[in-house]
Formats: sequence, C-alpha cells, structure tokens
Amino acid sequence: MADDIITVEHLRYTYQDAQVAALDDVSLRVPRGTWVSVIGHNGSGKSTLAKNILGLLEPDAGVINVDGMVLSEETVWDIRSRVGIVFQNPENQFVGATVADDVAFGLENHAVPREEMLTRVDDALNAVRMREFANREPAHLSGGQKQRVAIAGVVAQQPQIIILDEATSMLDPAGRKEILALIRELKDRLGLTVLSITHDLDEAAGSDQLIVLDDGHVVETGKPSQIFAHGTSLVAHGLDVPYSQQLRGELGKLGIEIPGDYYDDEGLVDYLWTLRSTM
Amino acid sequence: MDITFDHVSYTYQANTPMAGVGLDDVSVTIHGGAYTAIIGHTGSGKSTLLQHLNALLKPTSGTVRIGERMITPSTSNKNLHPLRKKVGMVFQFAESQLFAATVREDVAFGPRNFGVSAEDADALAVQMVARVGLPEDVLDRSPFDLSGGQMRRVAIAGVLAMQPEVLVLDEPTAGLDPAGRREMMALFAKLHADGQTIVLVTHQMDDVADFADDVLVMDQGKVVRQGHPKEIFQDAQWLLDHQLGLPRTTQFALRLQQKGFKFDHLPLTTPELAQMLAEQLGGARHE
Repeated sequence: MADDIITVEHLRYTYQDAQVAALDDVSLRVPRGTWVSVIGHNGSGKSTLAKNILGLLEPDAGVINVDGMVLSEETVWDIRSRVGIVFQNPENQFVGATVADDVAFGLENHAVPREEMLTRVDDALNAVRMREFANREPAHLSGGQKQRVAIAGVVAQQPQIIILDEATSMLDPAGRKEILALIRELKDRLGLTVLSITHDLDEAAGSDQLIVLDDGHVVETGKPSQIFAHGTSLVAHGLDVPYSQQLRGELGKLGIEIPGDYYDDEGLVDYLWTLRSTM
Repeated sequence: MDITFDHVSYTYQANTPMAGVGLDDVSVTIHGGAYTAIIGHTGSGKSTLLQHLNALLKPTSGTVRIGERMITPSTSNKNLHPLRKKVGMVFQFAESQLFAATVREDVAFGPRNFGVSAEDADALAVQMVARVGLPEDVLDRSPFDLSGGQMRRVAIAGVLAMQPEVLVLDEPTAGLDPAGRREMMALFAKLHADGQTIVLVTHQMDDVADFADDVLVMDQGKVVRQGHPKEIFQDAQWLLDHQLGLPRTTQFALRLQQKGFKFDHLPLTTPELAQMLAEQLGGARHE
C-alpha cells in the first residue's frame, strides 16, 4: 500500500545452527507517520525483526519493503540512510571523544560536507536539549543524557523512520518518561515514523498500533485498547497486564463485574466514580 | 547480623576543590533477617551507602558496625576480606562480571578465593545454581551462551556461593522483561523466606510495596525516612515532591481520591484496593 513506509511479508529467519526459526512467517505493515510498537518477551524475535528490516541479517524467505524500496543488496545502504536506530544500552554505541563528535560520526560515514555537518549536529543537539554538553565527554553523562545524545545522532541523519530497540529499558522511571516525550515531540515535529521494540506496556500504550510477537510469530495485531482488552493472553506471551485490567480482574473476584472491553486508568477512574455516584 | 551506621558522613575527593558530599550524618540500622529496600532518585547517595555495607568505602567521619566488626575512618584496609564474604554484593548488570569458561567455574570462583577446597566449592556451585532456579545442565556450559536473564542468575549464584549473611541487590531486575522480573523477584522472596537478609536498591515501587518490610528513603546524602512500606507510601505527596514514584495501586487510589472517593488509608496492592472499592461499591449490585 502506498501509505505504508514499512511492509514485511512472510518473513522467515533462522540463526545459524538453530533448530527453530527465530522469525516464522511474519507479516506486518507500518503506516507512514505512525508509532507502532512490537511487544514480546526477551527472545520472542523482536530484535531479530529489527535487524532484518535494517538488512543486518539476511532472511531465509520473505520480502521487506522500506519507503518504497524492496530490501536487497542494492538498496540496503539507501534504506539504512532512511532508518535511524536507538539501542538499549547507550554505553555500547558511543564512539566520539565529545558529545558533538559522537553525533557527527554517523554523518562522517555518510560523507556529509563539513559545513552542513556542523549545522546538523548543532540542530540535533538543540532538538534533544543537549547543546550545552556539546564539548563534554559522553562517559560523564547520566543514562538519560546518554540516550538523548544517541537520539541526537539519529536525528542528525535526518531519517524517515526511527527504530527504538528497548531504548528506555535501562533508564529510571523519570528518564524513561523524558525520553519517550522527547521522541514523541520529534516524531510530530519532523513527521517521522516510529517503530518501537519494547516490553514496557506503558510505553506501548501510547502507540497507534501494537504487534505482539511470541516465539517468532505475530500472535496479535491491533490498537492498544483491543490488545489490552484480553489481558490474560498477554501474560501467556510473557508480558504484563495493564494495571487497569489487573484491578478489573480483582474487582471481578469480589463480584463487581465491569462491562465493556477496555478502560485505561482514566476511563476506569471515571467508570468507578459514576458507579459510586449512582448508588 | 545487623549493620549499624552511627553519624556516618562520606565526602568524595575530600580535601580537594572537587570535594562532594556522598553521605551526610547517616544514622540507621539495617536489621538481620529483614528485607530492606533503599529508594531515592539518582544521585541521592544510595550507591555510596551500599558501598559502606561491606567497607568498599570507609566513612570520612562516624562509624559503621557490620556484625561484630567496627569500621571507622582510620580502619586499615587490611583484613577487610572477611567482610566481603559476609556481605555479598550483586551490582547492576551483574552478568557483565562473568568471566569463566563454564558456569561451574564461575560460581565456584568466589568460594575458592576465600579458601574453600576445590571439591567443596564445586558442591556449592551445584547447590547455588539449583537455588537460583537454573537447570543442572547449564553447569558445564559457557555462561556466555545463556540468555541475559540466565546469565544474571549465574552471577547471583556466584555471590550466594560465598554464603553471605547479607545479600545486597542493586537494581537486580533492570533490563529484564516482565516474566524475567517476576521470576527474579520470586527468587529473592524465596531466599528471604529461607532466612536470607536482603537489601534491595530499586526504582520499582511495586516491588518495594510487595516485598520489603523496611524502607530507607535517601535524599541529598541523608536517610530522610525509614519505616514499613505501609507508612512510607501513606505520605504520597511528600514522595512525589522528592521525585520518587509510588506503587501503581497507590497512584490509582490517589486518582480515585481526587475524583471524590474517600479512603482512610492509601492501599499498596491491587487486592487491597479492590477490597476497599468493593466495600464502597458493594451496594450498587443490589439496586
């Protein structure tokens, strides 16, 4: 479809020497300009999927299409220049002696002229509010600051798509909130598409679309409210149940059945208050 | 074994222009047999406090008593070895410290270092690998062929193999997926039920509410509150003012309260909140 910036069709990937495929007949679509989360437990195949989309791993079978190009040896570099990825551990992705050098590194690799590079690095650091740290050593930053620098490195490449590979899972709750808000702001301002790989349901709750992976298969696809409505199946897939659904379950045990599919926290607070007011 | 801090202060890079306060006049007791949680935002002094628990740091002033052993600013660095055995530290991302060719050797390394015979150290390795819930067949595999969660269990087995009286855990579930986190917390609960003293540093307030029986709240190098989770989380606004989170249930109850619900105390767990709501809503079903 013209509006899908990523499509994956019948993708299969097997690691060398492995008995079972890490991804088996995986098909999905990511509409341009949306935030799509792939959720699943560790080992479910989430990161393998991201690596296949970037052409870091070569599929056994299936077709991957990114921004109108079928992924192949000829298109892989073109595709990579349109996709930026932020990994789980910022420690593992620093190469520069200073924050600014680090942000510039990706641009040097893409042979961006120096004048333009300086502007892009400055703009990117400004976008993540790390400009005053430009000449600092990355090693002396907090986890959240490091992740902001990593995001600046991605933003400087002016990609169409940002892939978050558990990008907030090593941060404390405050750092996590801050990074998610920053990505959301950048996505809206720069018109990006976000593909987030996560097992954090709070992070996934804000997505337009959820894709649940388990044992290399897509087991569910839908809006967060649809997926969260049948909470217990998430536990079966090694994930958590959203809090509002947990509380509904406990209330159900005490004889208070709440009709309807899914309420987020706010919806459930409203429902309970209405129930109390009608007593 | 209790660990008691008596007016402990610690200054980083003392007597230099870079001097910074790590701990500021801390007096507190961590009780033997307890499950103590230490909470506080990044930079509040949690790690500095941890490093005093087995004399990795010595106070700049004041004393730390670890069991029978007294640590003062003038304590010599010699003979601190036995303390390292009594207080076992599991640092963040402990799996990054694995190094041996097999799980068996890695877990046996600690006891071997403390003079345990090869045979006894091996027996300890077998026992501890089972205790952390790993199958026996991992013993002769390379720790690096295991999953991240399994590797962390091996690292914890390595600390348990030294049979510490106090087990200190610094963010032990960071980076694990939900199922891994649940299993890890269940493991610590079981160790505690078997008599292990536990000190847990965490940002996960649900874990504090579910497992701890004593909480230390740190801020700017001081222990600003100590008490049972039930007491600590009652003062929700105070915690939020100190940039600390609340258990999910307590957050939800606060929102209900803002809407108009009345609670005589703030609940910590989902069943507790459900019970309180049922008492207020129970009549609705009979209309």
